[in-house]
Amino acid sequence: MPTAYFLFHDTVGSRRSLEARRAMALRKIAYLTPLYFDERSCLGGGERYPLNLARGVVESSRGAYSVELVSYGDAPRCQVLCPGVTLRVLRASNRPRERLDVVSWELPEAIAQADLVHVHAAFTRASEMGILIAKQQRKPICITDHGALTSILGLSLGSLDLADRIICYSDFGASLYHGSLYDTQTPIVVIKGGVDADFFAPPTERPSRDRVLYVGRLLPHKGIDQLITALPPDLPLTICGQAYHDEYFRHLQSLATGKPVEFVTDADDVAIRALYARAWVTVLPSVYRDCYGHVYQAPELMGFTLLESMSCATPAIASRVGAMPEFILEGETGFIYDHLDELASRLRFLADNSSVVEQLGLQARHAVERDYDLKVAGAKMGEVYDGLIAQAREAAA
Amino acid sequence: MKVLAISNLYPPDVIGGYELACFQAVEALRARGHEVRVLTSTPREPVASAPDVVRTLQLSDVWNTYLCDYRRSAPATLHRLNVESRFVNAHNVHALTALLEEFQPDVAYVCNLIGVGGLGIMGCLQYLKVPWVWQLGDRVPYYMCCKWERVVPELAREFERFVQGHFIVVSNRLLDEIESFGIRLNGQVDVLPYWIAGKRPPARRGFYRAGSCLRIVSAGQIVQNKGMDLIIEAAARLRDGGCESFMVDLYGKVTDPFFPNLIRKHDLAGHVVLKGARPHAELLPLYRHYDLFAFPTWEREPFGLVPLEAGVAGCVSVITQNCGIAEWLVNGVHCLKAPRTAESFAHVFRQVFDGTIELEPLARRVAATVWRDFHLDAFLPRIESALERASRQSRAGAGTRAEAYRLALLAEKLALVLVEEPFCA
Repeated sequence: MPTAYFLFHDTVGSRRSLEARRAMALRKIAYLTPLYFDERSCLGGGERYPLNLARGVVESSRGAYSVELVSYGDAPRCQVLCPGVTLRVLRASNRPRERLDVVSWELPEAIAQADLVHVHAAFTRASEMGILIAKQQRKPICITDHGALTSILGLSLGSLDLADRIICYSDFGASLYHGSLYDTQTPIVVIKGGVDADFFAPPTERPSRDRVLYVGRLLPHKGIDQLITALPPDLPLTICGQAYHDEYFRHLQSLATGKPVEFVTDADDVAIRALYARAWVTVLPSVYRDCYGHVYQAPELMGFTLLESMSCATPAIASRVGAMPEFILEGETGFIYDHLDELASRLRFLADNSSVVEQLGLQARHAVERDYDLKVAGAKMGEVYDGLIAQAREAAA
Repeated sequence: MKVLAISNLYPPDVIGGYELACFQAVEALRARGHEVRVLTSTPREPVASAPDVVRTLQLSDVWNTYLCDYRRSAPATLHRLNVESRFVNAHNVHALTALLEEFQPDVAYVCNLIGVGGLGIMGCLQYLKVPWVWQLGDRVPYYMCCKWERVVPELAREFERFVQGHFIVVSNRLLDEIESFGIRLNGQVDVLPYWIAGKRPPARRGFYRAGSCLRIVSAGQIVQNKGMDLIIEAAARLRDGGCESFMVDLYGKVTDPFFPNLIRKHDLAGHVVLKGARPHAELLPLYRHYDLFAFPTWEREPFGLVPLEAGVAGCVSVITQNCGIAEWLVNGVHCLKAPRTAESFAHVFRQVFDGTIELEPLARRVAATVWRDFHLDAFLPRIESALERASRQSRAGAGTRAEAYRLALLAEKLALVLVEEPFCA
């Protein structure tokens, strides 16, 4: 176990600390994220999470913090995403094989303006450069892994030990830092959730629920093929997400032939929310070994769409993979399955028991509001930032 | 004070005046009671060990023109050399941190850092909050902010932001040049010329008289930047103009056959002689046996120490009119200035030869002026004071040695990967 291992189960962001935070000048946090949540960049959980967390930090601090998402593109630009949250796109100075390995000469200047640097997508060239520059500039550093691993150069040189905190959004994520390639002495903080519960809210008038739903990128490790295989023949399934893997998408289409399966590849957040509202259940069937035999150590570090679904009062079902079991209370907010026949029987059960669906959905919504809303996660994150910034200022004084 | 001097090279392994000046300053500081340790590179040829000189830095020998030729070395080799020379060499950061821990200096006296990963050395000092005074005898910051000989503006801005301290720059020309690349030196900047050191040579008795044999000398690297080819060309013009009674001796290591070939081409064997390299201490007394010191160095010469050394021996320098040393000496009073062409230098030689310019008054004035105004004794209090002032800087918030080394490792590897990335399949 790392030196310090903090779990935030109770409500933080107490009145005292909020007042103390208000008393301090506006603090600027730089979120370094190689890609950003936009069609021009990438629409994945790893991109949505920093954006939501940024909003959560700003909103929960009531303006004591501002967050700048620092990312990369062909031309530099700045954009206000919401009050207190800006996107700063730096001009990329290389053309790497992997998009996440982008770097920019403009990064030192972007970092110089921050009080603290939070590096997202930890194991990429972009992040390695961010850690190097931030540390040289004596900025407190937090690091969060979103599952991508395009460079182990920094890891092999102990870059994690240069950070002040590792921020994980699941216990499973935190466990990966024990005795592995990611081993580090840096304290780990687990802050779960980060879903926008205001947006992903139950509809005022719910349409009739009439389908099973999958939401997420169409990638082999998501195990969507297994969901199609397990799907009872008469139950409709909507698969919503962008196809990032052509061969796998064709494979899914082939599997779906003759079944009531619909693919939606261009849904925006409003459309996705409408789909959650109409579903009996949202399934995330991720796997450790995909249909091509590729093995994944951490296919799901949280399962963002499960939380969105729960936030919309639609229960969730997930495979017992990665961090997902941490977020579903068995029989209260959804179900976890080990075998496909279990999945099939749960789908049938929920499709046939609307009152159970409503009950589970209600409880799921409460769980999200209580534990996983972006403001809750943001408040916890703000507490961590407070401590690190104060510590850095004290050291420099 | 405990002073750690850091220099890429250190006598007897030298390229030019930069390293010699470092040596002289170190000796002078020791003579004034300071404890001085020197961190430098493993020498390019065997040298005797010297007390308190730690030769543990790796040198990326970018001065080896043969190995650094793109026609002979693989691009990857040259990229690595470039990165380790200018940006960061983790081995050298490790060597530095080890010595810092053992010696615990009050302040670092930084000299030339090219060849040893200068950016990494400065980054380490900054990170550990070791106060420093940087003696700039060349545009070292420019090299540190360059990628393929072009300054990266963002890197220059970052250099300005994080390299903050006390700079001693040898000429306004050098300062202007560094700033012209968009690199602002952040902190206290003093313009202080290089110096001569040691005991005063005996007063010169004989001076050149028109019509006698004009003895011209030059010393340094036998390269075109220093204008050695221009001297040979000027000698040819002098001879072709009817002047036969002159000699030109060139001291320095010959590494390029171009120069002996040029002498042969002009049939100057009877006038121009390549004398080979001599130890610095042997060279100094020789100047009093010459009338003129030819110094047609390139315009961007940051300073040019040798004209001072020749001057104190009463040997008058003919120098490029806008090089660094030219701003410290007055034309026709302490030296003779000329545009950097063979024709211009030949013209000055001719004027001296035929007596149009009388050398004796210049020789007497320059000897007296250099001794009075350019001796290290005159400058040492200012260097000492800069070191003392720097040493009082707060070290609160200093990072750890382990972190500094880890940062250097990360920086070195990232730089190599990024530099080679475009060439990878």
